[in-house]
Amino acid sequence: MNEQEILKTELRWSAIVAGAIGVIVVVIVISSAAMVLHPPSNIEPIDPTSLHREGEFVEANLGSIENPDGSITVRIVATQFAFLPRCVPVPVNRRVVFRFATPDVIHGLLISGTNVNTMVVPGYVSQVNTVFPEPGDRFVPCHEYCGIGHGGMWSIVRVVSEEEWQPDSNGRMTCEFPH
Amino acid sequence: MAEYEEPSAADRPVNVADPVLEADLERVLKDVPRGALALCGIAVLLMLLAWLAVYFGVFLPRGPIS
Ligand SMILES: [Cu+2]
Repeated sequence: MNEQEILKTELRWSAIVAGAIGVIVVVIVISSAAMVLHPPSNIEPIDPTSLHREGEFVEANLGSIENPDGSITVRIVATQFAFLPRCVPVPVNRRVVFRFATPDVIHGLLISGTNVNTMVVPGYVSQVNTVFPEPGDRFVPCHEYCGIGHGGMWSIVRVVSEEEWQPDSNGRMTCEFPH
Repeated sequence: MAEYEEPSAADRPVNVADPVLEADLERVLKDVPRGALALCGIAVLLMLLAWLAVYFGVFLPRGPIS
């Protein structure tokens, strides 16, 4: 086997690898365009030193709230070492907007069984829109090491049926409801 | 290189643990790329199939986020 043949073999292999990558890229581009998929992107600054005292992330404003258009907004503060609130209810098959902020260090989270997966960075509001097609509890762990209590930092998204979704007169609902 | 008496330690048979005949080497190398290509090809094909399975079987059914 001479040098020329070795080069030919390598080039042939490069073409195969490029083809494999090409298949993946084409699949992503076509499915993204056809289904209008785009990753969450929201550059929204917030002052991490005062978010617990003023603005939308004060304690009384955290959790789930129904908007006039029927969609749900969920506000969660990620802090060492808990998500506040520790459980949020949301109804099935409605648009849910999650908004996260942190007053201390970088956290991250995912909602298990869904594609929701984001970092929570001090100074910015992380926002993710999604719809839950199935009722049930979804585990929400912190997935960015944030200190000694990181392993105990988790929350629950409780997806409830339309009948179980009973917000109060302000449109708010917490996880303390009879099953 | 010609000005050196011993350009490589391998020039002295005593330093070569397992001398190989050029002809033997040539014969073996003839078949090596085919086997390597088959092995790499199967590995990459399986990886591509696994990626497609996760993308269409898990990622897309979970629904879009934005
Ligand atoms: Cu954390």
